[in-house]
Amino acid sequence: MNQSFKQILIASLFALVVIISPASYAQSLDFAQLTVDEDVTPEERLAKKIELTVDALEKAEERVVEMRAQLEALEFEDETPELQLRDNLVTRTNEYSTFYNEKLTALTLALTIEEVDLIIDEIITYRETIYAPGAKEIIEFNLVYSYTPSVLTLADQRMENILKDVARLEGLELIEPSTFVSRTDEAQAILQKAHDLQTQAATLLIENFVTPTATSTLAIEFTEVPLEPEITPRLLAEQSLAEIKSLYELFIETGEKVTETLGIN
Amino acid sequence: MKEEHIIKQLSTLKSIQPDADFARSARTTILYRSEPTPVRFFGLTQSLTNSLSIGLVVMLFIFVAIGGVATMFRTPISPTFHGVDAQSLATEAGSINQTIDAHLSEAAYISGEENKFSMALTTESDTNTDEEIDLLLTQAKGY
Repeated sequence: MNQSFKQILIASLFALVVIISPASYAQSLDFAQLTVDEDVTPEERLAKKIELTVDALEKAEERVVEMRAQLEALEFEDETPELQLRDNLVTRTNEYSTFYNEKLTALTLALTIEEVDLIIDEIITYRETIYAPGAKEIIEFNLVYSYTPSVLTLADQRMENILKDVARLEGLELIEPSTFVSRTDEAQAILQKAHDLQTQAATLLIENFVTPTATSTLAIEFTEVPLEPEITPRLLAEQSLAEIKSLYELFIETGEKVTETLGIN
Repeated sequence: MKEEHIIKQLSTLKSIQPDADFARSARTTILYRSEPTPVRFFGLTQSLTNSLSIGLVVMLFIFVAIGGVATMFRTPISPTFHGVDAQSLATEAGSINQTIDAHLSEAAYISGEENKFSMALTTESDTNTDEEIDLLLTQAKGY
């Protein structure tokens, strides 16, 4: 009995070592600083380079497809600058896809390490000079028109549910009326501010699109909190999201206060 | 002899008739009484009522057993007062924070800024895709 227990223990430890070790080892590696073993043949190097580049290109294409899907999921009125801007950005994602697919084809024809390196250099340069500035605009557009509104909708629903719960608890005389007035008022004010910031971000984004050189008329409104010198749609969207974060902290505090008041904790 | 006697007695029974008044009242009763409830349906409704009562009693016991009203607030399964439920709030807040940080991390990376949001991303699925692509390319170039 004792002997079999020992055997099971040893087997379990061995299994643990086998399972955990590769993962820990992989985590400890610096991803970008893998070195080539000296005994690797040029053919193996070529194959590995191609494999890694193909992997990067496929991921890049997936990323572009995801961006395009997010843009196309947004609905705007016909003949509005928002729709026009969105369509421009969609066209841009198509150009990225074309480039990545061309490079994937080029890789299949590459026969030497030098040829592959040349392709890799082209991809890196393209991503730095063409893709990054364009992707920045796409991400900003999605941030303003997709992510922030979806988070705001969720916060709106939560606010509504909290207000309903507080009203019900007051109705049931489980909490004193007006105990939570200051908290709910503060929460509503934060939520409103988040909405305003998102609206301003959208306004500025379109303003910049219609008249790219125009300076923002919103600048005056933000002299109270000069977080950064330049006010951009992204900054406004980020501020809106930061408000939502603080709103949720307040929501959690309110929830805790309710349970404390009811004496159920 | 005995048999003959019995047969005679039985023959006399043929001529037995009810009293005329009784016959009329009995006929009226039979013809105008209300339709009786089918036994099967009655049995079913009775059975349902009993089941419902038993069910309600069982539910009451379970409710008391799991802690009554106080537990309604503590457990996430209860839809009651979902708005202020601490666990549901914490989950939603955590999810929102993670989503926000992921999107801001993307924006910061592509803008070439120091990525203060990537610190908040903990799981592998949250890794910034563009950053991952660039690292793969660097690795391919350096291999």
